[in-house]
Amino acid sequence: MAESYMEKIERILLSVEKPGRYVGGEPNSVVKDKSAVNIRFAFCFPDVYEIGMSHLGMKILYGLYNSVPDVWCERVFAPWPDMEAKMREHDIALYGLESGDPLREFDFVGFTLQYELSYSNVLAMLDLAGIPLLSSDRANDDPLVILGGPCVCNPEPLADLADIVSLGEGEEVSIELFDLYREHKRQGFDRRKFLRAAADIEGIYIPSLYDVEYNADGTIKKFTPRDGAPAVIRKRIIQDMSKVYYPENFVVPIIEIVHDRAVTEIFRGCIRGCRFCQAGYIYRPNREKDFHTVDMQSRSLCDTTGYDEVSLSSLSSSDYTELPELLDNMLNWTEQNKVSVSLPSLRIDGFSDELTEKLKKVRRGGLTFAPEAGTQRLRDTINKNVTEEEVLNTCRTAFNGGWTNVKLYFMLGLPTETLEDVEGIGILSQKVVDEFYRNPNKPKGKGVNVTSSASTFVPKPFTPFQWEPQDDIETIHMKQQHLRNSVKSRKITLNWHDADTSFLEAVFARGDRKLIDVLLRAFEKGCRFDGWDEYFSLQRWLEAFEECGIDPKFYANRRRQYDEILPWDHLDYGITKEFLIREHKKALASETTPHCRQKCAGCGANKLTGGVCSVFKTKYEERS
Amino acid sequence: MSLKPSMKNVVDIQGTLCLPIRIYFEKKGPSKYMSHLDLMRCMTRTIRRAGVPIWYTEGFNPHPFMTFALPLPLGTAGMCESMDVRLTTDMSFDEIKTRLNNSLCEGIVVTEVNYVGKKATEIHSAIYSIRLSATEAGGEILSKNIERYLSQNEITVQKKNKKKQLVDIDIKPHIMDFSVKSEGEFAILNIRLPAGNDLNINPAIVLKGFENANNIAFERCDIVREKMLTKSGEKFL
Ligand code: SF4
Repeated sequence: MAESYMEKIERILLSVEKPGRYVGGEPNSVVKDKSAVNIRFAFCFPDVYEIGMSHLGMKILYGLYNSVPDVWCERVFAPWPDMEAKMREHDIALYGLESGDPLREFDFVGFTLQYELSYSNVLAMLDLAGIPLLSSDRANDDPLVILGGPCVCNPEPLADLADIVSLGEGEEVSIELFDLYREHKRQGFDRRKFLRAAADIEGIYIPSLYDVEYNADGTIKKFTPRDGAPAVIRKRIIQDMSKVYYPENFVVPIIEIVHDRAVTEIFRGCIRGCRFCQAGYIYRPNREKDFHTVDMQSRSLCDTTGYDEVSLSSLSSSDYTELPELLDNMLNWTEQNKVSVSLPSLRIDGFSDELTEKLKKVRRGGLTFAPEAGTQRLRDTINKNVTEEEVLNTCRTAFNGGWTNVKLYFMLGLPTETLEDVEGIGILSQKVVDEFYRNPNKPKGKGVNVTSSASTFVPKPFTPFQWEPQDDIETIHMKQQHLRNSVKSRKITLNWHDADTSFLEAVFARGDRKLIDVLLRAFEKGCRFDGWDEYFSLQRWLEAFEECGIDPKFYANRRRQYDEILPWDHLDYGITKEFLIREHKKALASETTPHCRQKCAGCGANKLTGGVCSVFKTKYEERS
Repeated sequence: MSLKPSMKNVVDIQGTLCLPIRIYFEKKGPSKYMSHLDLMRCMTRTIRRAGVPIWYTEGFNPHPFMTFALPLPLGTAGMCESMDVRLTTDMSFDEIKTRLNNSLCEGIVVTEVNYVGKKATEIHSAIYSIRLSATEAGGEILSKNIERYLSQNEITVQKKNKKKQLVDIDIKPHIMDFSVKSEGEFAILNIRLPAGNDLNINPAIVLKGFENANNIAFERCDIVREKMLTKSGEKFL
């Protein structure tokens, strides 16, 4: 970081928690000569350093952007409230960690939106950077504010804040956007002309080019493009995961972060189609990376970072068709180099005997299952193809092997849920406990500990439940109480997520453009770090809604009709509305849908990979 | 090249020939905001990146064998830091130094690699140089006030005891030496304090005592541990 800037922030660093968050200088961080670059990009993660630095998407795009010679991408994280206060007190504007230069000097200020509860931080960061919060207030030379990440599948609550929204996977589209920007800069930059031209790039959505009209009841009446902007904007995806850019190194943090290890992506998209899971739909279709590539990239990352752990990342590790081959190859060098391999998101129905042997050498975290619902009926409704028998069988094997801790994940408030389903959570947890004591080979002198966590269901766009109301907070509290009463054993520990934050999440997940007023108000009232219990205050948010005359229940707790225009209807994520309606009806009838490799459910995502769905282009087909 | 039993200082550790070495480094700039635990993690990774072959502990969860002379408090820079590792392959000290410096983070610089010398337990005191400024007073007045404060017969400051409670202690008998001068807006204090396992006095508590007694708050307070000394006043090497 430039000497002058360091000098400025050193005054305040010793009075804040974890100053290492704010100084940069990590190995593999990229410092360029600013006079020799054309495009400066501030990649902002609207949460604290330790969370943002753990995020894979940011590492990929940071590496990619900096691989372009005339682009310099820097990292920016949300300063913790103690630091924000000090920065305001000392008049220090938000800066890039690599240069220490204020964000105002950048060409692009990009935010990745990973969860709705980080929106207030987006506003706080822009404000701390001295950049106007609304797109319409920005001048020609102000940075272009660009949003990406999974939450932009409904970017409407932040539409008035964004200059540009990038839909889907960012690798190719960002480069195209940079090319266009370079060209416009050369010809004398005109913001409006540039934005209009950017709208013609597939995957780029310019919210200011669209007008929204509302009905008297608050629903959307009409969504109209202006200036010939496309009526529907389609997300971008990468066709070939083995050929797409992947970083050869990661910035290695100097303070401890949440996931402090090398990560290699093994595939994108998921074949499963659990109906509550947004990630299972918006990243479709499933595309695998060749195992040789994964192996090579993992090795290179370990060499350049010095990490002694590499994690294979995907939505469901056991669905990777080349898992045996991959592990064969990797274990060759990882054991020798004292590197451990970890496989998160391993499904319980994914083990063959051959694989089980290899998996013994792999770090799998604890014994965790996500049945998500307490009864088979409700599991069928949400299309979570996990049976009680599978859970108990796997537990039996694990208990035989000496395990004594099991974690179970559930959701409360799923559509069609009854109190019987809620009790089912307690019953299933109890059955796991019983399974332990039935086992003659159980570890001597040890008890079993089953931790059952129940989060609150949040209906999300582009899922079959996008029309469903969320249970109101009172109902969730009642169900939590009911669950507590149905658990008798002291071997079971119950955890749950605060229903208040899930309510706010539900509002913004399916929100529309009217919500920007609430966001601005909440920001002024001091809302920050809403994902952190110590800072979240529902009361403050409710006041903001009240003051803006907006009823949050309209967004969270209202059932939508199939023919209602939804705020994200103009965005095309591959999957069609017809498919989602079909799936919704099947859900209500508790009918399951086979996963993509068993039978194509006709979701529509195949049009993104040229007609034939990429699911059927993988080696899986050849082998079976 | 592999190590041979005949080579200088080579020892057999659980069946592996090793050469214990000491790596001296500076820790300043952004790196001074790394905690001791952060530093250990950072050094482990640096050594792996640099491909310097060192000995790992045996057992279920092997980790690199690495010991540090004396941890630095967060926010304090150090010019005389050192850590000991055990080399398992012959590699020249210069080569090790170059490799490490090529992959270290900003602010950590390896200054020398050598055979292991004195034991860390021999460390008895440390010399700090401290650059101070305050909005309430210029460098000259500030340095005079510090001089006066440190020249008292008794200086009561607060120190955390083993139970992490703050207790009053008289620091005066522990101040082995000090000098103050002014440099523009800054006062520069050089002070020698007990350091090591038996008694370790962080200069920050002396400065805090000064702040409390004079009712001011330093604007800048850059502490650098310049040297570590043994009981007889020799440099710790
Ligand atoms: S098109 Fe068929 S196979 Fe492809 S993702 Fe959709 S449902 Fe799955």
